[in-house]
Amino acid sequence: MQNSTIAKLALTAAVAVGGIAFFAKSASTNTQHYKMVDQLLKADLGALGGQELKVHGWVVAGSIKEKIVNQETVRTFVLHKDDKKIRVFSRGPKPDTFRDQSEVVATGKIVPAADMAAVAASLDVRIDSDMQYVVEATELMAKCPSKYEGAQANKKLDEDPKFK
Amino acid sequence: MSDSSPFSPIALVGTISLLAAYLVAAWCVAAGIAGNARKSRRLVQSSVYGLYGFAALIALAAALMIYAFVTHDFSIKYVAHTSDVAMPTTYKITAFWGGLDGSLLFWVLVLSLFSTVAIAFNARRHRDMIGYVIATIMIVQVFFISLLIFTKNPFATSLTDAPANGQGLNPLLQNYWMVIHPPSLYIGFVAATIPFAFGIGALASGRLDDMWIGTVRTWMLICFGFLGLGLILGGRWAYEELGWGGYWAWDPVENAGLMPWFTATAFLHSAIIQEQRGMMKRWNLILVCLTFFLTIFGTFMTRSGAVQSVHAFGEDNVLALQFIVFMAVIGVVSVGLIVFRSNKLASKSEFDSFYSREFAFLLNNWILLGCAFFVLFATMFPTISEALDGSRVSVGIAFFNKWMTPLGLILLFLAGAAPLLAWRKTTRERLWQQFMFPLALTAVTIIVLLLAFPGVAVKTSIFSDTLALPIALVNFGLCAFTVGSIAQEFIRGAMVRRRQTGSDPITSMIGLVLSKRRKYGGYIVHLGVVMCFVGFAGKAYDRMVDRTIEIPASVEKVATFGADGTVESLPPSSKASFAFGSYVFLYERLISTADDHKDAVTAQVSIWKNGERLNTVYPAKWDYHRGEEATTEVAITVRLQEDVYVVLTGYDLDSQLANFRVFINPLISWVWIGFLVFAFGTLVCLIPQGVVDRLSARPKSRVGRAGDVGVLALIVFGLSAGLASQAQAQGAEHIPAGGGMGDDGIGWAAKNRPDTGTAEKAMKEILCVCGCPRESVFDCKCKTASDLRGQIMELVNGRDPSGKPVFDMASPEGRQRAYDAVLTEFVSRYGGEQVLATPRSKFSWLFPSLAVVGGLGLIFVVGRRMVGRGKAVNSAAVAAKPVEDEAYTDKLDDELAGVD
Repeated sequence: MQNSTIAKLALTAAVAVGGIAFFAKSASTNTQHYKMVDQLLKADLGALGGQELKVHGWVVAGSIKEKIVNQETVRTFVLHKDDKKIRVFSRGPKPDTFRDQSEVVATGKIVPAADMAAVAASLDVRIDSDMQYVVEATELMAKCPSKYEGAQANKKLDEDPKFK
Repeated sequence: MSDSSPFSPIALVGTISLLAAYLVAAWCVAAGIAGNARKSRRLVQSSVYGLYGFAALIALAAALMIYAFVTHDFSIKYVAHTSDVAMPTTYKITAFWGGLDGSLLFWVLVLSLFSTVAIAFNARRHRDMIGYVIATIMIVQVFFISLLIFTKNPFATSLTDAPANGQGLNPLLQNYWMVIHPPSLYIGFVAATIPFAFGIGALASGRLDDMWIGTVRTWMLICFGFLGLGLILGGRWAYEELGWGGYWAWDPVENAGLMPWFTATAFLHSAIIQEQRGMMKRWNLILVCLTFFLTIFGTFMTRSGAVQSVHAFGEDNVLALQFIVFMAVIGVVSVGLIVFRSNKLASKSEFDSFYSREFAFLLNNWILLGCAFFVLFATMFPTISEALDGSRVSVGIAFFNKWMTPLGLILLFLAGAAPLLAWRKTTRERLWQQFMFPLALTAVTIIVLLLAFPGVAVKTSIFSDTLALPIALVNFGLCAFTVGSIAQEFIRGAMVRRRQTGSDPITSMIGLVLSKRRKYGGYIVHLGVVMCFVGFAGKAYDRMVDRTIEIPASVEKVATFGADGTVESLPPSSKASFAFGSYVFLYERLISTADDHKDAVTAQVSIWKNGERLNTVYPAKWDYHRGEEATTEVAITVRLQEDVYVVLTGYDLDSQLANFRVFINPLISWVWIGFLVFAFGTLVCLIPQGVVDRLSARPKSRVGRAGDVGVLALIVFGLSAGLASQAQAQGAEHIPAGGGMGDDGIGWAAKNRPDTGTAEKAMKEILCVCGCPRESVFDCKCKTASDLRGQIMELVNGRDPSGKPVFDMASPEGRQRAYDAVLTEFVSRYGGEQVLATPRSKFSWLFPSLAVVGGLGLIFVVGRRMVGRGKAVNSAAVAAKPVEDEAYTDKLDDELAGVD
């Protein structure tokens, strides 16, 4: 094999490896985890700070508090899965089917509870002392029977007597 | 015709035709391969006839399916699942491809029609490989039709009694963009099969000269055009219907269409290198196979549940396995044949220089392929992560944007730079000569933008959060560069042609485009892409706000309402108003209405700018009685510089509180305009040489010239009307000028039904004004439609003061006069033709299409003479050409040799 061919191959390999490494690093910092509330609480919440993630759970009955401040709706509620709970803060619209015990996926970031203390106070709620982190959501999605054909998971969910 | 018995003759004949088609397809595979391998003309011919017979059987099955939908044969499960009695006929027909089973049948239908056309035109020219081509197409058909027969038979009937009514099509799919978006994508997907079949045919037969690439290129162009059309229409649908303010969210289903579009685009460029330099044969075959593979992979992703998407069809492991096996077969056969024929695929020459057009094309190919694999990887990321460690981790829209933005900008630069480079090698002098004007235009654009709009330099992250650059500004600069490059190519080419033919500049330009359609059609496509990039850049400046308004102006009582029910002037201070951007929004009232299908809550919101009312919009939420989630009916005020997009995100009927989300989307209209230009350029590329030859050969008389002028005027009018109707269609969709759909909404559909054919015809022509999705008063189920039907019948049956009928309904003339009178009355009553179904109804899409076709006609008509003139070049004129033109003429000749 000629030296020039070897050089070309080596250069191509270097570019490819470098590109893949950079791509993988970039992907790892842009991932969005999808976790049920109980899975989330098993993780190191402090380490998840700043990353966008989706938290899936059910709204604890009676936990929704809402207030309109300067034409903006601010709300908080608690999401649970089994006995694990985490408080969520959000602003703006909510899904039509958002209510007590509804199944919700909140997209947002984990933030220290202390950061949301002022908002909590304005909503007349107290963050439980054992909750060091809360979710600051940018979007709420209520799970519902799919608009599209064949979303079997949602159909099964709909048949569950718990959600009838 | 809902029958209580599960037996359906339609289902029976439909299933039999599918089974017969399966057998015919299997015969075609065997006869095609054996025919070419044994050089048996009769066997090959029988496979050709078999392919035509297959198409006829599938057309029969498709016709039966549509008939079942139109006649409400709910004993067929698929019909019961995706339609209901009350749906307008248009949507009953579109329900054909609204579900998985029907969409597979639609796929087979489109492929059978395409393959019929492709084989009819190429059977003789490629007779030594056509058997293999047919066999390849039919193997694909066997795969899909076996899915239809064994797994997803759309003609399957209920085991129990047929339901009295169907479940209906998802309301979100009952939108006029959805009438054409899915078929466009399917057509794009299916068109990729034809190049693949010719590629495999060429490999199998060993006929790897450049002849096959011409046929393949045309079909790849069709694939490229339809995929583009499908993608943009999907974006438009999402923008209008889903209410999240955007048109592209890197959803897996969108990505499934984008990946083969990238590889098809790469092929269209690298095919030129093969033609010009005899290089990249292997690469081109890989791209052809890869494009087809990605269309199947995209279908697999969306139909098997391999990835989660808002509009995937759901999880189906059996189907997934079948697709995986099929993809493995495609992969093994493609790679195997390419390796087997490797010695015949060697390049005839090598790259001479980095400063060459072929190297720019190669770079373009790498980037496009990189884009395809990036999108593939990112789309499959959740599935890959789940397979690796069990947790579902996805990458967000931001990740896609961070990578695709710089890759897109490199492509944009190459679109401008490649035409400026010469084949083989560009000398330093020519580099300077070619790049000077585009670079100067880039610099001027950036400086002017920075001076006039300092905010334009907003920084955007690319690749990672740490690298933020003024990407939008770079984008505008590159747009200017590419426009400069294209303009320079057009102007220089037209100048040379003008000297050669002695015609005027415009005629020379059109003659140039017509005589070198692929080159200049390609430039028009690039121009469309530039316009789209201007629209994409607007994304960097979009803004969104959420507002909760506790009481509307109608309750607050600080504003005066006029006779038309809207606020007369903006009150100086109101709790019902809010400012955003340069606009003030006033929530005027909340309107609750209902019809037989749904409950609707509509907010009346006026938009003010500098104290003047800009528009009154009616964002709404529709809650369908069938139990699906409420749909969001957004209100978009279209402006060339920015759209104002208002969404009603929530409401409380008791307190009249309403939540609004408002988006200001700068430059978004350029995405749609850019696509029209893109489509026009694609069509120019597709004009066959024979058509141009025939037109140019026709003698030209004075009357003929006058006719040309007339046609020209009509086309200009058509273009204007088409574009205007497009803008109007958007505005008209959400106007509930009638103020609501009725008080109780029950049973209105049955009231005031037409008593004469004339009344029925008029009712079908007049659109309901209740805020429905542009249904005619004949179809709409609301009280308003019922009242309007009554008024139409009163007009048709009107009597003069003496008691005599106004119109002689016994004569055709009288009936026509009655019909015209009704239309005139409604146009005058509602202040414009927006109340008519034609031309601004669900067929509004037809007008831009006609306009595009009209534009082509314009080029034919005007260019005919020029092409003719080009043939009669005066040799003296050529000899007298200035010396400086010779270099450019040589370059043109060099570049264009053999292109057409």
